[in-house]
This record gives sequence, structure tokens and C-alpha cells, in this order.
Amino acid sequence: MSARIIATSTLALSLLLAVAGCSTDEPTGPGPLKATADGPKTGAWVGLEPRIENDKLVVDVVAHDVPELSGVAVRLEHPEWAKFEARDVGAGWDGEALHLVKVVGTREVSVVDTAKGDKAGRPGGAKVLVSTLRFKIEGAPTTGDLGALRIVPIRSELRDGTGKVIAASFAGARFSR
Amino acid sequence: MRMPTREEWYRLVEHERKEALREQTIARIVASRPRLPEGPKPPPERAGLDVVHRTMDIEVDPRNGAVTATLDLRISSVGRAISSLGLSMGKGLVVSSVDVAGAPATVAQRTSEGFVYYEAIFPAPVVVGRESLVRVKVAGTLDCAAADGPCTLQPDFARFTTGSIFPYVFDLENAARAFDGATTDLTLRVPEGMDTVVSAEVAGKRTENGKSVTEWKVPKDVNHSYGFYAFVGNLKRQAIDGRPVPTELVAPKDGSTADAKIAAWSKGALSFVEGMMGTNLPFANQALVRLPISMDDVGTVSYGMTLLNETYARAGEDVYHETWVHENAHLAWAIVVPEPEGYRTRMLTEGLATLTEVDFTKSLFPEEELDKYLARRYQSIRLDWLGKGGLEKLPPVVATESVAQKLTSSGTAGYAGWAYEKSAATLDHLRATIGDEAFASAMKEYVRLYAWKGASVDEFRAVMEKASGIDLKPVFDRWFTKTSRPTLTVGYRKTAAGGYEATIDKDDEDDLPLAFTVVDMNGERKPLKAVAKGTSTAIPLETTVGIYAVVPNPRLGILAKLASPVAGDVDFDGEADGKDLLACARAVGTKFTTTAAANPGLWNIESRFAVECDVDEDGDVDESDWTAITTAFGGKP
Repeated sequence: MSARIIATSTLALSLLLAVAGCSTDEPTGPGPLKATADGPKTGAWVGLEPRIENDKLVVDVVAHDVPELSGVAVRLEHPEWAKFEARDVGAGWDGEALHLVKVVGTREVSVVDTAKGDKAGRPGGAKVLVSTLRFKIEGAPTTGDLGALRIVPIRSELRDGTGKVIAASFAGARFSR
Repeated sequence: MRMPTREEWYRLVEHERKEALREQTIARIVASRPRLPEGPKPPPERAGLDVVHRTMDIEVDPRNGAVTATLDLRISSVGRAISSLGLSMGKGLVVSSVDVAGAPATVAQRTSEGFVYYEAIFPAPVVVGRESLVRVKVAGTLDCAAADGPCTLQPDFARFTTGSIFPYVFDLENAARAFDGATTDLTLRVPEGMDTVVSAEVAGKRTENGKSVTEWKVPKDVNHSYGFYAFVGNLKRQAIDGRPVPTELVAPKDGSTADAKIAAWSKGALSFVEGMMGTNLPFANQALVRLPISMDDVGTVSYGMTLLNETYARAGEDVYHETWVHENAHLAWAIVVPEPEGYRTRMLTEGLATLTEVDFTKSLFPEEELDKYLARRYQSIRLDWLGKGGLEKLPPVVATESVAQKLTSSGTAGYAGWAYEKSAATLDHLRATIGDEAFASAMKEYVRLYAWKGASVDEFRAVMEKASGIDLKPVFDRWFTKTSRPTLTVGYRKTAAGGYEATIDKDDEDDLPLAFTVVDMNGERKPLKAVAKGTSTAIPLETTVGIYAVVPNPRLGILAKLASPVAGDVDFDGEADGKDLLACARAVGTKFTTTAAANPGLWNIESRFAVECDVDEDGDVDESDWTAITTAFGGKP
């Protein structure tokens, strides 16, 4: 087997794992960093689908089995070695919707998307990409507890098209090597 | 849904205000009369005439207004001797004689400020502690032409109330300042075949000399100034099932569809009132009277009788239903437990009846959280008053007599705001402070202790204090006998030792009992009652998982402005976070809907206005409020 074929196979495996949202290897460091999503849960729920891309941790925030959404507030707790850099807003929002993100302390990010006034929210569905968050990986431990990604339920909320709070559960993700 | 109008709301208020104004007229008449040399200056409490019992034998023909009556008043005197009394009867009736203990009194007809009355000067004073019998002979032909008068000779549904065939008796030497209860026996003679319903217990029925004769009694002390009612004619009667005593809907036979509604609502309404009282209404029989729109009498309450004009059906079914409960609540909060300090407050009559009506409507929507429901109902009142300077600009709900008189004579709006709306909002603030269970328990005790005699404001407070174990003088001093809307800043913080404490900041040093909900990081909610002392108070909180929020009861946000120490933190969780934005985003562009004509505060039943998002408290959630909230959140797109 040539080196080129081996490289192609590795890339294909990495892509496969990334698409599956399961785990992948950290390209640098003493060992492969793996991120594994928790869940699934029943009913309406919000989960995290993490992946490692080079020196980045990329996390899709995905809502499952939800009606039309007029608002989403997610408070994400992350390991201190993951430094928040940016987020991409999920598609489908009205042009006047508000999208804000802020860092809270050293280990939390607060993300908000909401329709304003009587404007429509975004469509619901079985699987709705709410946000994609990008973190830079800096100094992840080589051994021991790597921490986790967790949605802080008490500071997170979904609202349906009428503005009512949706009874939803939340799932996080774990890291390992 | 049809929106109720302010005119409809004020019409009911105006009826009650007129009663209060009559007392003021009499007070002025009394004040203008020369004082008898032996009469000391009246004390602030009640003194003088005490009507103990009335025995009335009245013959009336509603077809032509012909009346013959003998009225026996057993009277006494309180605190000082009395030498006269005033008596008002219906237009067209003549008082032919007044005897006191068998000796004739000097009788003269007088008119003052348009109020016609008879003055009876006794042959000898009635001394303190002694009873005397006053016999009044009356005859004549009633003139019931006045649309808002005390009688209506409507065919088949004639109506007679106090000041028509029943006497309105008053002390000519001391303004009526307090509750004077009297028992009553009535013999009513009407043409044979005519039906009769009276606001009293049925005591007998016979035919005598071509007349239908009915006998009635009021065995308990009821304010003899209140409307005492009789309806005579071809009356519709419909039994209300499921009541512990015979209860009937009484109405004209005019085919109104309102009767079916009232019949359907009454069992629930009466049971609800009894639930608050902790006992059944103590009447041997009850009449629920639907007054026709053609009558100007809008409704009131009397012994075992509730009356409401069908005109309230025009205000929409919810309001009609709720107002029906209000009137029935007065069976408890006016008839069973009168209000002795009615000359300076209406809190224990109109305030409690208004509180009861709102509570009742809440009971129809069990899925809505109690605190949120009550907060939004009373916030509607506050918001309605924003345009008139704020609820806090009205006089205290327990005012001085002169302030109460001035307010009562100033017009309907102020009286409605003070007697009904602010009183009920203040009572609910008290209830939120001590807790719903303690308040409910106290109300049952209030009925038990003060039925048929009434409680002073201090006695009412004592009942509340006993039930709650909370010293409520600071609450009464701040919100009952004074008026203000202080800002209360409520939050929490971590202590240096790693624990948590709730914080309350305010602008003054006065103690202030308050009620909160403490939410921990697991979402567990626990009630907390605490007294804010001084301008800054810290209250240790017990937790093993950390505190998420310290939330003041939203019902406290009517008489106080509630704020978090963190700008943009509308839900009191200590941060301007995403949930605050979600709580307010949909409210942007909304406005509390009230107009000069429609949607009065108390009847703005459906309002869901997001007061917590109205940062500048101007009655709308506009871009400036939204900007304040989003700016506080910070962050970036």
C-alpha cells in the first residue's frame, strides 16, 4: 500500500467520524483527542455534535424534534483549554432576528437567537442546526480528566413560535484520548 | 371578545359612590344644625343613635303606589343622649306622626341639598343605655318616576328599597360614622295574587282581607342604611340547585337569556365565597336578582339577596361573570362582616369583594400559575393608572375621614381607583407578603370573629398577624395608611465564605416584610419570607448546589418597583442572560392596551403585557426598552 493511499484512507476515516459526530484524532499532541456526543434523548432536546478540526474544536448545537422556534438561548460550559473564537448562526431565521454570543467567565459561552416582536421564528424539525461554535484548542491535558461540554439547563431555553417555553432536555459531549 | 368599557365599570361604582355621598350630605346637614346644649362634641367613633330593631308593617299596591305603613323603631343611644332623628321616605309619602315611647314627637319636613327628610324632635331625650320605641306612621302615594330613585313601579316587577317604603333613618345630631346594625321584622301586604321577594328570611305567608301577606325577618344585625329590598309582582323564580339553603334566581319574566347564565354561575360563585369565608353563608334562604336593563339600579347586595343589572352582560361574558361574583362576595364582605370604618376606607368591603372576584376568575384557569395570574391582573390596574399619575398618587386605602370624603365627592374615577382597585391591589400585596395560606386562614378567622359586627383596620391587621406570625405594622404603615411605590432591588451574591446570601436594597430605613422564591442550580424552588431592615439587607441562604435566582413575588410589583441589581436581568437570576432576551423579545412593540373609554384596568382581564420588559415603566415595550435589555446582555452578533 502506498503512502498516498494510506493518507487518503486516514482522511476518509477522519471525515467519516466527523460526519458521524462521534470522535476523531487531534492532529497534534501526545495522543488522539476524541469528542463523543451524549444522547440521544426523547422528546424535544438539544444536543452537541463536536468534532476536532486541526487545532479547533467545532461544536454543532442541534435541536431535535422541535416545533417552529422563536428563540433559542444556550449556555454552553466548556473546558478551559477550549478558547471560544466564533460562531455561525444556523439557517432559517428572519432577517430581523437577533443573534448574539458572549463569553461568560473562562468556561462558558452564551448564545442567543431570537425573533423580535411578532416576526416569525425559524422552522422546526427533527434535526435543526441552531449554531456552530468554534473553539481554539490550547493546552488540552495529555492525561487525566479532559473535561466535558455541557449545556447549562437552567440558563438555556427554547421558545416555540408563539413564544412559549418548550419543555426540552439537553445533552452534552465528552472528551477522551 | 368584546372589550368592556370604562363607562360600564364606572356605572357600578357610581351606584356605591352615591350611597357614600348621601352619608356625606347627612354629615353636612348634621354639621349645619345648632348643637343641643347638652350634647358634647361627638367623639371620632360612633356616638348617638343606635337603631336596635325595626318592626315594619307595610301595605303597598305597586299598581298605583298607594302605601300605608307603621314603622316601629326600637332605638337606643351610644355615648350620649339623643333628642331627635332624621327619616327619609319615598317621594309622595307623608310621615303623619312620630311617637317616642308613646308621646308625640315634633315632626317637620326639611330639604337640604335636594335631600328631603323628616326631622323628629323627641319629647324627651333617649338617654345612654336605655331603649325607646319610636313609632312612625306613614301614608301616601309613592312617586317612583325618578329613574335612579329608590323605587320602580314596573309592571309585574316593582322594586322598593330603602328610602321608599322602607325608612332611611339617620342620626340628626351625629354624622353616621360607623356601623349601626339592626334586626328587622317585616309584614308586607300587597294585592292578592302578587308574588313577593324580600331581602330577608321567609317567616310566613297568608291571605288576609284580600291581600297577600308575607312576613320576613332579618335575625342578624345588618346596617340599616344599606338597601333593604322588596320585589313585588309576577316574578320569575328559578331554583338554584346544589345549595345548602333554598336559593332562587328572581327576575322579570321578560325572556332574557341572562337568566340561564346567572343560574349556571351562581352555585360556583356562592361556593367560592363560602370557601373564602370558611363557612356557609348564614342565610335561611337566598334570592339572586337579575335586574332588567330597563331599571337604573345597577345592583348591590342585601341580607340574603344579591342583585345585578343585566347591563353588565354587555361588558362581555367574563366581566359579567366576574362582576356577579363581586356582588355575591359582598354577602360576605359587607352583609355578614360589615365595615365599621367605612367613613375612611372601603378596603374591607369593596377591596375584599374585588379581590374575591379576581380570585374567582383565576380559579377558572387552573393551568395558569397563581402568582403570575394575580400579578398580571393587578398590574393591569397599575398600568391603567399610569396615565393618571400612578396608583400611588391616589390617597391611602385607609385614609382620613376628610380625605375619603373629598375623594368620594371628586368623581367616579378616583373613587373607583381608591375603593376598588387600589384597595384590592393592596390586599393582594399583603396576601403575597404573608402567603396565600396564611391569608386564607386569616380570612376565615376574620369571619368567625367579626361576623355581624365588623373589624377595625387594626383588628383586621391583628388577625393577619396572628395567622402569619409576621409583624405587619410596617406594611400597613407604608401601604395602607400611607402611599408610595418604593424601588426594591432584589438579588443574591456569593459570600466570602463561599455561601450565598439574598440582598435587598431600598431607599429608606423602615422595616419591610417581603416574600421571595429562591431557586437553586438544580431548579429547586423554595419560598422565602424575610424582613428587609434598613437600606441594605443580606439574608443567608442555605444551599448545597448553589443559587440560581432570588425572585421577589411578582405580585409585590404593583405597590413596589422590583428590580435586579443587574441591569437587563428581568428574571432575577443574577445575570443579563439569554433567557432575559427570550423573555422580552416577543414583547417588543407591545403596549398595555387601555383607553379613556375601554379596557379599564380591573376589567382588562386578558392583558398579558410583559411588565418585566417595560424597563422604563411607561406602559409599552418599545425599542428603548429592548435596547436597554440587549445592551445589558452585551456580546456580539
